[in-house]
Amino acid sequence: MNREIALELKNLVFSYRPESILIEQMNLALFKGEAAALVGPNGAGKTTLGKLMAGILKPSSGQLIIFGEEGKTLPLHRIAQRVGYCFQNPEHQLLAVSVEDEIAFGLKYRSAGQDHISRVTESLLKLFEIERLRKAFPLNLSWGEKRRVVLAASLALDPEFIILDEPTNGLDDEQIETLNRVLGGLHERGIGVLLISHNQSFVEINAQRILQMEEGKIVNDYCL
Amino acid sequence: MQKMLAVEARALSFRYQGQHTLVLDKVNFNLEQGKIAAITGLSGCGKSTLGYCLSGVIPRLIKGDFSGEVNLQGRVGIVFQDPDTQIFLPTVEDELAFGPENLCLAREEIREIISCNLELIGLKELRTENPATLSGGQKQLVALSGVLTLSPDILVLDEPLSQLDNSAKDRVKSILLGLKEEGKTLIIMEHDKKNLLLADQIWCLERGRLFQLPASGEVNQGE
Amino acid sequence: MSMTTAFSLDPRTKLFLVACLSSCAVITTHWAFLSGLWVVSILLLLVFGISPWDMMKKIRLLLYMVIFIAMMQSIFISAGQALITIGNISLMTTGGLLMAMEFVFRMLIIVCSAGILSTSNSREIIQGLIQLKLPYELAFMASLGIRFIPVFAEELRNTMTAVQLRGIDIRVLPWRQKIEVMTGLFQPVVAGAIIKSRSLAMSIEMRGFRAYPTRSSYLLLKYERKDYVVMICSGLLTAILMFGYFFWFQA
Ligand SMILES: Nc1ncnc2c1ncn2[C@@H]1O[C@H](COP(=O)(O)OP(=O)(O)OP(=O)(O)O)[C@@H](O)[C@H]1O
Ligand SMILES: Nc1ncnc2c1ncn2[C@@H]1O[C@H](COP(=O)(O)OP(=O)(O)OP(=O)(O)O)[C@@H](O)[C@H]1O
Ligand SMILES: [Mg+2]
Ligand SMILES: [Mg+2]
Repeated sequence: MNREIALELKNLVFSYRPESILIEQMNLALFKGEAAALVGPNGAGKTTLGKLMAGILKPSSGQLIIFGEEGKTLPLHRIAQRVGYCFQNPEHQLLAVSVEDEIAFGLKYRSAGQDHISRVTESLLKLFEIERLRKAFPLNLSWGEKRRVVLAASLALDPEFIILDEPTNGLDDEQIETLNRVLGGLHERGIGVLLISHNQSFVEINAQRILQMEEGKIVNDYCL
Repeated sequence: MQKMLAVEARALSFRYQGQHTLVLDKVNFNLEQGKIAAITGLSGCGKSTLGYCLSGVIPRLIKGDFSGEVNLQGRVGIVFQDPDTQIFLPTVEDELAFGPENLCLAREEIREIISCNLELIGLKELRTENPATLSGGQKQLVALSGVLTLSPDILVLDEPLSQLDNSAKDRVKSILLGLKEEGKTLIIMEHDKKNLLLADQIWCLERGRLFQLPASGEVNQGE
Repeated sequence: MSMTTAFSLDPRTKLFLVACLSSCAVITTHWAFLSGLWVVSILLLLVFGISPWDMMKKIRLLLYMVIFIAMMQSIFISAGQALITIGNISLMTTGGLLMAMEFVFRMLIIVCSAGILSTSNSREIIQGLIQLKLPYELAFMASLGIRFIPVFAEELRNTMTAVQLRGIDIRVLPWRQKIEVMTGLFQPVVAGAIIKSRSLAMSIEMRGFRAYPTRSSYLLLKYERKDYVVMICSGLLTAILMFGYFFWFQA
């Protein structure tokens, strides 16, 4: 099977501080349409790796290749047009005065049609059961509500690949079920995902490939 | 024999400022000393809000329409859901020392408490790190230890395990069971069914109403 | 070696040093003297192991603001000879220019002072203030007040990242939309910073802050010999400088 690569790391090195290198010489390829999961203990560097792949952090050295383009020279907004990302802490991503605006924000300034925007927004509000909160101020929501708003806002942009950091954190069982359905739908449409999660059953349901990370290294890479 | 009630809340109602609906609607809640209660419910049902009420954050620090009565026997500690907003000192050590310092403990005693807590929770290596630059799960552990060092009699924990890996989850669970042994009273907001096994009683919050579910662990005493 | 020694000075010593430096900067008004003082503070930064260049880069925005204010000042203050005139209105004068330069140097010296203090962490500075007999509540509250600035900065940074993560480049938007986005972001950023500061205050309160009129402390600062040496030297130097200044420049 000849699969196309979506995101690729080549000899990637990353450190927050010069004296201690967190990620050393990492080589990794994620394929288009692939559902992978990044698991590992607290502090292993999962979030860091996710942020690197989404272009939020820049590698200290080595290469990041995003859909065939050199990631270092691509500005973040260009990367984000193809690769979606959700923070571990949903508060870091909220920027609008209402839930509705939050979801519509990306589309609105990327010159999407009004019909399209309201159709997408409505369906996502409904999907994540936040219709009742459409006028609410996002920063005043409960943790799980914030999580759902952020997920909806990222999905609204219709990325080709999406990285979700602890997406089940704060969700109840029913909403995790919803998320499972959403991820199933993405998979059918050939959209790749990288899930960073401690929730084992969630990972087993949604991922075909498991990347196990420890102390900044991928120690195990296998398919389910 | 009836044990002493550590937490007793009667007819709690609360509405956030500028909202129309009541988040809590005449909620009653009792918990005996030395027990663990879990509070579940769908996301957004008001678990965190209930935690604020039970620990006195509402009405003291958050504005809104509050009515009802809460009686607590002993000192209360609360760990909030968002670890980021509970961490403000430059090292993990300082963060853990903050509570005991407020209680005017002696320096040597504080040192002892910090070492003991770091050992228990598994953060020994991070003692002098800046908590702002830790990973999500590590921050959650720091936030928890920052309250544990206060050794409160009643502890309210808002989804304390949500970002932890399996070994940290086990460690924290055994710490919580240890606290129970010591006679502390715990209230835990939790979604995950697996973690509910920890609790002596499980309460469910739905549309502002709170009711008790059949217990999973111990046989339900009293009533 | 000198670097690590300076680094490990008692925060109270650093406070004293900074107090000397900034009182010199505030009391004196001559640009030549101020520029000398600025050179001294740059040297001090180097001794404390901070790269002045990196620091200037970090606070670029503040510097632009200072320069902008200085320019406005030099335009509106007319004293001395006219340098630029339009018709018979003098737009820039030597007096105005000198005033502006003084202002810039003062701000630079204060920035350097802040840099020196930043070699101690916030807890150490708080403890320094407490051991200087400032009430602990005031010391903590002041530090929390100052903390609002980094919280706000982080909120702003997160929001800017969040905007880009929605695939938007503000720079290329048409003007109308640019203004729309910017004004739309204002409220969430400010409200976000306030909400976060409030949650922080909540957590602090719930951890027993102000439960008792006094408070013990885990950290204990002790003066060492080098602290006394530095304080005596800087005190003497300041006294000599001030004396010299009033003697030479004012007389
Ligand atoms: N901004 C930062 N500055 C310095 N070090 C950092 C920073 N962020 C994270 N680290 C360090 O990098 C390591 C990896 O952090 P990361 O957040 O990637 O872990 P993680 O695998 O996502 O863990 P978790 O499961 O707890 O979220 C940790 O040891 C952490 O202390
Ligand atoms: N400061 C606030 N102002 C207005 N409404 C609020 C505020 N905080 C929370 N709410 C609303 O009150 C309701 C209950 O919130 P709460 O945080 O208690 O829920 P929760 O049960 O803890 O949810 P989660 O499981 O997602 O953490 C939510 O619908 C939320 O939108
Ligand atoms: Mg993480
Ligand atoms: Mg909550």
